[in-house]
Amino acid sequence: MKETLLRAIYMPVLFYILLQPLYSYLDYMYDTAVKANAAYLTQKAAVEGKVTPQLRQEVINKLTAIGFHEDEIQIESDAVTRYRGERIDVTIRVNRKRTLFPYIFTSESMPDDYVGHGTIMSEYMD
Amino acid sequence: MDFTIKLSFIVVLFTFAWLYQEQNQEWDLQRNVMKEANNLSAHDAALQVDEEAKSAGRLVIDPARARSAFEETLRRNLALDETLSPLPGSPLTSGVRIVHFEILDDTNSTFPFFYEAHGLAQWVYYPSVVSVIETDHPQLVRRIFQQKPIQVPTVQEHKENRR
Repeated sequence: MKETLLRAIYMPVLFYILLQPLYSYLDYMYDTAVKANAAYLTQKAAVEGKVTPQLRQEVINKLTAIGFHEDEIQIESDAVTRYRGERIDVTIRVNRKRTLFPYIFTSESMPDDYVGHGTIMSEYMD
Repeated sequence: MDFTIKLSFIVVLFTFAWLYQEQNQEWDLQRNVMKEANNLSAHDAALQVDEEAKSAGRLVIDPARARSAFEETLRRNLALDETLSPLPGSPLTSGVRIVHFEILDDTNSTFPFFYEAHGLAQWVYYPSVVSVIETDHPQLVRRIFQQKPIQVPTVQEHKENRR
């Protein structure tokens, strides 16, 4: 009886040990994907002078292909065309719906979004 | 009692493995953002072409403007202050050091040539900016040996306009 009780108490610890690395890895992969796409979009925007609707859609397609929903993705960038030497800022925010276990047991809150940001000088010439 | 001791041992092992995993993931994330920031910064440095030399048919990158643009873009991309130390919200935990910054253009190089230094080995066909930056390895698990800093090199080359 005592042993059964002990096992029942320690069961959550066992689940934690099994699942924590998987969730953590998944979270890191999503974060990496968002940051990589932000860098890609920034480099492409430098050639075009801004984030064009085609580029925006290309990145949305890439992010939805790995499991994000389109309405979770926000791409922030100025719509004005920037000419050679002017700066272009690009930010991608994707809603982070997953909460990692350690945050459940602490008063700390997890960041609400995966964020990727890039800034570059435009190459575009009219 | 036996069960509790075994379980405690497993929990200690797990904690060490977990922190080690977190550290490696942090290393990879920081390396990726450093690499992308280095690429973008070298790109901006390479844009600082000397217009006077260009009108004479030579592609020359202005060293002072290039260095200034490089540092400015690095600061903006990695949220760093004037001394290249991380500001609150920066993806990095330690400051960035510019290990190497070199301009290869018509004043000092004959293209193409094989460039081999700072972990890079590649043919360079056009005027370029070469840069290497580094930051300290994130440490969640203290180990006996100090781990090597994260170092990322890049070559940003001008390309022929084929449009």
